[in-house]
Amino acid sequence: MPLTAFHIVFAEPPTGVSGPTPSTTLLENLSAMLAANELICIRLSGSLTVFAADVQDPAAHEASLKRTLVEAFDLQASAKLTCSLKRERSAIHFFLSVATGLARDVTSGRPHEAFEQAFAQAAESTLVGPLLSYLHQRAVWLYEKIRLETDFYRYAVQQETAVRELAEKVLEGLSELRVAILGYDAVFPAVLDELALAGCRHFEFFWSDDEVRESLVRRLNATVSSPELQSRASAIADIVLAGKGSPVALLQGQARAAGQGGRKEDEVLLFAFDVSPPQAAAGVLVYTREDLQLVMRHNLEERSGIEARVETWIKDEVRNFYSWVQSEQRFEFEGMISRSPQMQRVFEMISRIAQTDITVLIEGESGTGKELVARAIHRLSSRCEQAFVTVNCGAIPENLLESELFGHVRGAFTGANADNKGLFREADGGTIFLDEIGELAPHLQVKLLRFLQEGEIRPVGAARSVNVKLRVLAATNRNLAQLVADGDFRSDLYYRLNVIELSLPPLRNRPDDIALLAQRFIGKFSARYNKDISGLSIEALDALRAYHWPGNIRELENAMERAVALTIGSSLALHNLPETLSAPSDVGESNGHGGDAMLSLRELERRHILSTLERFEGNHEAASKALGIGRTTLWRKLREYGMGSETSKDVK
Amino acid sequence: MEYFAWFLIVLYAAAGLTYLRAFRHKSIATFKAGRSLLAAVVILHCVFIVWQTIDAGRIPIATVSEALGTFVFVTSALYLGLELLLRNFAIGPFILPLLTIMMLIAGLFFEPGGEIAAILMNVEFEIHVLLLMFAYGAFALSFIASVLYLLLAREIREKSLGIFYSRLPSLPYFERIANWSASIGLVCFSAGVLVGIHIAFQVWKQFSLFDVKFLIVYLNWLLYLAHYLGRRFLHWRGKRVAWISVAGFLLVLFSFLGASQLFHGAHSFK
Repeated sequence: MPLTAFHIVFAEPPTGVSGPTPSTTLLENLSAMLAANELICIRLSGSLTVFAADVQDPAAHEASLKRTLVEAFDLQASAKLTCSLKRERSAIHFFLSVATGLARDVTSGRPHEAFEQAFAQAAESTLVGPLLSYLHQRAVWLYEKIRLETDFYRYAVQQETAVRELAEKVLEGLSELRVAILGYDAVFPAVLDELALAGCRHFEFFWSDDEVRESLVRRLNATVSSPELQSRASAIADIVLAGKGSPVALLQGQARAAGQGGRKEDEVLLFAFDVSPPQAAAGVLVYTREDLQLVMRHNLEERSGIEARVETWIKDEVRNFYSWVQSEQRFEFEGMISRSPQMQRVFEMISRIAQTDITVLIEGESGTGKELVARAIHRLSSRCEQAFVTVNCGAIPENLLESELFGHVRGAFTGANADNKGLFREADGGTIFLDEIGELAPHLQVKLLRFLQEGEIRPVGAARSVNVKLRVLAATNRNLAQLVADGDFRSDLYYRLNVIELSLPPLRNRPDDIALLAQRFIGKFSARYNKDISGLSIEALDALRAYHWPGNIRELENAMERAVALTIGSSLALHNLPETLSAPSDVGESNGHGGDAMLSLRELERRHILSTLERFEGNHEAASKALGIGRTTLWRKLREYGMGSETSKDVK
Repeated sequence: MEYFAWFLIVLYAAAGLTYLRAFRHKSIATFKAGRSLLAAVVILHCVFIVWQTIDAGRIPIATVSEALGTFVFVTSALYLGLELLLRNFAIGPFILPLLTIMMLIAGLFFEPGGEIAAILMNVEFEIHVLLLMFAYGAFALSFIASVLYLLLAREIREKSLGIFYSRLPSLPYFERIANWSASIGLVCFSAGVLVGIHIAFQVWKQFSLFDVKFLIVYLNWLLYLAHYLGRRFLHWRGKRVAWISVAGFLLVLFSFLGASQLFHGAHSFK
């Protein structure tokens, strides 16, 4: 039973509590009471929903849950609370419906935003684990899909959004309009926030004698006028909100004043909440709370066609969830595997941005899986059917890179015997992944910048530019900000690329992932080499955890491949691991500096590279494989340490 | 040539139906398909007009059929420009059926290279008619925008929200389009009428400015002038100006299609 949802409805919403998130103390109390591994709690207009993972016998907790809430919200013991319980599929379905704002019984102003706040609160309290993370990622992805492919979120289905919709339909230039507030109604804060979001800037309260209104005045930077001036409210205002405390005669007077005040046609929108509306007068359009309900009902009816479509997407997600749980891929995301919170945030970010065409810069040390991230973004985007082209900017000689990327026309240079489309045009409609972007030569940086700004490229030797529509994902294992500061990378290109930055943590900062990944690689290579290895010995695992993994996951993968190939029996032992792992101190000792504890990491790396190269007699290919880094990275590091020429003895 | 004309009518109808379908289902993808179709029709219609011009040795504006066809072309091109400028499809589902019907009428009375009066074979006359075509096209846009304004305003005022409330943009949006189009139309209309009066003085020695058709044109001009001046100086807004625009275009249709048939005055070239 992975997920349970407790949906509690208050007969009378607790007063003095605002916002979609309950207190952190309540969250922790609930988690302790339900003995849940993961828990998220969201408060939406008169209800509270708790989603908890792996709760044993949920029905038994209902009474104590109600008691906890009565205490937490300082309610009377006789307060009426109804609790409905959802389990299994219906709980997952409810989770996705709440997170995407589809659930009608918890409909509030901005359900998705409220949900995001609740999720952030749960994450801060470390109550989010792989199950809620996965569901959250899927909910985010679904929300973006609904937003981009339908008008679902554009329908006004709350009073405050209905007011905004009417104001936008009837009046022009909301930023210049004046909003007058007479009396008070509980919906005013939400309505005023919505109008402020729509661009309204001028708010005028015609009396303000309580704390709630005074806080509104401060928040909206509104003016407060004397009650005696109320009679002129609609003569000077374009939108009038009238709540309890606005006398009918006064409103009637305002309606007339508006009609006579030189206004023509529907120029004043008067919203009357629980006050008798004035009779129709020229120049005033009156909407009561009931009329707003009518608008909301109409919009809900119009939206129902889309709801059916969204409902099928949610059902698909529920099905996917179960196949995910059953396949024990709880820590997997699009071919990547991690239980670290940092990586879970990266996965969530990928879900959020994949469907947009936004440019992404992926940063991370060599071997942290930057290309996998890029591929995941491509796979989850609407371009997934189109090409995904990878270019390693550091691996192609500088003089060839321009024509490789942008193409060339016949005769552009010696040897250009035919037209070449170039990788950009090959990726047209799809995604291009520029790895090691920090190695890009300055003149190509200009060309790339031009593409990002204008969407066009010019093949070498061509007379005119060509339009190309593709998404650019870039990656680097260097500190681009530092390169910009040093003047080696254009700052304007950096800011263009760095619209969204995904930073991949090195493996040494994700110790929990080492065992998970090692197990995965053992499975993979056991199948490949026809072995029957079930796991690692404790000593081997300790050695893996103790090592600092400069080559990150790639190094771990290579180490596991070697170990699996050498293992005889069903368990991978310490002596099957590469020497650097089984005896990490050898790194220094082999160079005769075993006792030198003051070596910097950089120096240690330099010496280790040098000794490995010596061991393989300068063979870059073999050395890079043993070091668990790419050949380009090795080449770059050699150049960095000024050892480029003397060590080059590569296998041709 | 007649087959080409009927082909155009079918294409206009297809574009109109696509826009209506997109409006019904609120489908942006269908609207975009409709726009591509409309762009293709406008290009083909342009080709057709060039063909007619080469064939007859004059711009096809002399007979009712020709003038209607050219009017449809000008209006659809104006609309397409407006749609591309404002990135909004709201007017298309309403103007395209109207243009399709006009195109159908033009097709029914189609007579390639028909005989025309000699006075119609001069450049000044062509300028006169083309200016009026632009004016009428702009008035047609103003008319549709005003009708949509009135329909939407009615739904909002009577709180009986329906298909227009959910699918149309705001009242100010339609008001703006109606007012711009009417103003542009008024400029072209004034210029066109002045050129027309100049031709009349040259062609007819015994010329009366008070012919029935001329009187209808003056009335029309006064209506649009009132539309402009009322907005500019008397702060007329909303329904009042929308109704003037509707009345103005109905009078345009009457003077364009009906007046010459009903009253055989000086401005009749049979």
